[in-house]
Amino acid sequence: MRKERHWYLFVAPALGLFLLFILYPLVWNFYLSFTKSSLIRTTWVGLFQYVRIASDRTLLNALYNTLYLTFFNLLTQLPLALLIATLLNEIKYARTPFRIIYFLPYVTSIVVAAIIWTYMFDPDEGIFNWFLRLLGFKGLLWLSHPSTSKLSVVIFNLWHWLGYQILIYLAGLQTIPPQLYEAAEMDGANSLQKFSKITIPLLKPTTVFLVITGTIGGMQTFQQIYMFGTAVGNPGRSIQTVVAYIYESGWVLQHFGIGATAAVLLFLIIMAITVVNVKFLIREK
Amino acid sequence: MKISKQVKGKLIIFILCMVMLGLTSPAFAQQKTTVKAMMIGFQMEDWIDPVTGTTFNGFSRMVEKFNAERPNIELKFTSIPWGALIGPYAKTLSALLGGTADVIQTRIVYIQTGQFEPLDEYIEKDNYDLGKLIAHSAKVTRQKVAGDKEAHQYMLPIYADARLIAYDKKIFDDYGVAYLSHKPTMDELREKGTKLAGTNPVTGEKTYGLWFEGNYSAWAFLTYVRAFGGIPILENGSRPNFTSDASLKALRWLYELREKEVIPAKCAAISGDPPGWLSKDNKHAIRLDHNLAITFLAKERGLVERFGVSLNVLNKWGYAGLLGASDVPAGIAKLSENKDAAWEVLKWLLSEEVQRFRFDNNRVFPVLEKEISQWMKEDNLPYADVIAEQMKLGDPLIGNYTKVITEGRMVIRSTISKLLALDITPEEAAEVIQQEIMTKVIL
Repeated sequence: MRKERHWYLFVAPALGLFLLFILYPLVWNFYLSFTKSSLIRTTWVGLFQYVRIASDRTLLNALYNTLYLTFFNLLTQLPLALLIATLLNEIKYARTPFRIIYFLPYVTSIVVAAIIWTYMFDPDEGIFNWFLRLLGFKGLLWLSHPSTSKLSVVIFNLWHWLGYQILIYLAGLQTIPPQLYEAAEMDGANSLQKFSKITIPLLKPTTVFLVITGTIGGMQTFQQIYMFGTAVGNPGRSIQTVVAYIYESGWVLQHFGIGATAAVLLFLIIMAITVVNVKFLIREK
Repeated sequence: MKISKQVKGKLIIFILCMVMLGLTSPAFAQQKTTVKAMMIGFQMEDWIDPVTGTTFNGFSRMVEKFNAERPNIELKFTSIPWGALIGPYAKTLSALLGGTADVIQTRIVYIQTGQFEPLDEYIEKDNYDLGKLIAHSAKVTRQKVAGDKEAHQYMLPIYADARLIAYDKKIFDDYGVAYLSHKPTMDELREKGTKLAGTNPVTGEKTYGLWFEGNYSAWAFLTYVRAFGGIPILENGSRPNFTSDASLKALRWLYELREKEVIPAKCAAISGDPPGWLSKDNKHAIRLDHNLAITFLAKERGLVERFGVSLNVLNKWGYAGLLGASDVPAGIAKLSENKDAAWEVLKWLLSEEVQRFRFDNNRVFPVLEKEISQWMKEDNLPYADVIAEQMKLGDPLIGNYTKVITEGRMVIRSTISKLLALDITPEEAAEVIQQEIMTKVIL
């Protein structure tokens, strides 16, 4: 046992960085949630901030927006990614160029992309309304009205995240033994039956992984919201997420206690969703 | 052991030489006082304008010059970019509270931390003339903090900013509408904006009368409340007053013009200029609350004749628009151990040399009132007189940047955005702004 102690030295740098940059801020944030703090003056207020945010309509609205965006992100992204990945898995030529094309949006800076998408969503001169009008429909207000702003963010997120989901699904598809499909073919199964009886069940671990990472990513949405509608998520807070609310409370309003309390709430929600997902995965295994 | 005279003599000469050498070492040279300055938005390295290809000098050249000219001070200069989300204010606040910088540029509201050194003694000792700064800009940084019996000059503005109204003369000509007056009123903007919205009789294109930046609407809205005779903050800036008649008038003005499509729908959630603005393809007649970049952009694009500028809307107190000189001023940290040297640095930042350098190389407007139009004219920049006049007219009530305004602006932004989306009535908007500032800002 004694001989093995030196291995701790190898772990020490990473552990030190983890303690300094992850654990310490986490503990400090937890402490701040029990205070009224502008960083200059900090007063212990116990559970006051938790009681306060429970009735804060702005936070409830931000929470609703976050859950809405996360849910519809997953609902639109995962089926489409699975479909495209399956098609990509089938083609014999130019598979790599297709993968690159789909993956490019994921490696594009969200900030830069959001600026360009703002022009694409322009109600007068944007490409989306040009296309809708070409098809004989009336243009939408997209990011300019609360009724369509969330839809705009879902479409933007679909464009940004789809390549990542496709790549993961492709990796999952390549782990399925081809013999299963051959055996199914010999039993007379058609393409749809192979897809529903072999592909989807065997991709469940991949899907659960994507649901977990997608949920965590969705709950942390901020950059595109800030670029489209600033920290308040304009128009009229219709796209403000919990992270944007935390940013507004802390760095704009200087109410670090409220921001920290909302951060703890977000942490608990993400943890609960992740625990449920992981348990679901283990049970399936 | 006996040492010969010759060796003894050589030893003495050697020791004397060492002593002489020792006396000339840096340790015996004049002591240098190190001053650390933490500033925001200074372009330190040389840079090239991506549009014009012009090369500009970085501010590190000025820091080198400062250090060369002052053998007793060593200036260590750090600049934080404006753009970073949590960057400038968090870092400067940390420096202020932690005592890691002597001269700090940060938000004016941080005066209330009580961590800035009063500058009154230094100003008095040097007979420093604050009158050379833009009107009212130094007054708003003169404040009382907890424990003060009287107000002190805690910080000084180090750059200037303002907002004016810009318009496209061609669209006015196409519709046969007279150009905006030098001092437009809310009624004039409403009347002309309405006439200029619709189908352009010459080009057949759709045009809008007014452009309003919905994502950053707080200063413009406050300007209009003031133009309708309102006082949006009461009790020395500690309480909001947004349910007044003037606030309602300003909200109704925006709502009505948005409803009539004089202001486009996209203004509900938009940052910056309208598409095509300051180009030959522009379709927006009047751009409200325009920043000062128009002087550089109109000149570079050869559009000075086409685009005109007017003063922001004047109120009954004789002011117009935000006072942009004092929102992020500079001061000396109370924890600084080198306050005298820090004062030298602060004065240097306000010197003609530094102010001119930043204007020429960083496009930052000087806070020196007389020099604004003079330097603009020397550089053949357009709109010099209007910009200089607008700078002097900045409203100190808005420029006071109290909690209600600096922190309440997020409530104003989100509510005005909702109003421009026609998702809330002016009456509801007034109530929401008042209530949310009371409950979210003034806790």
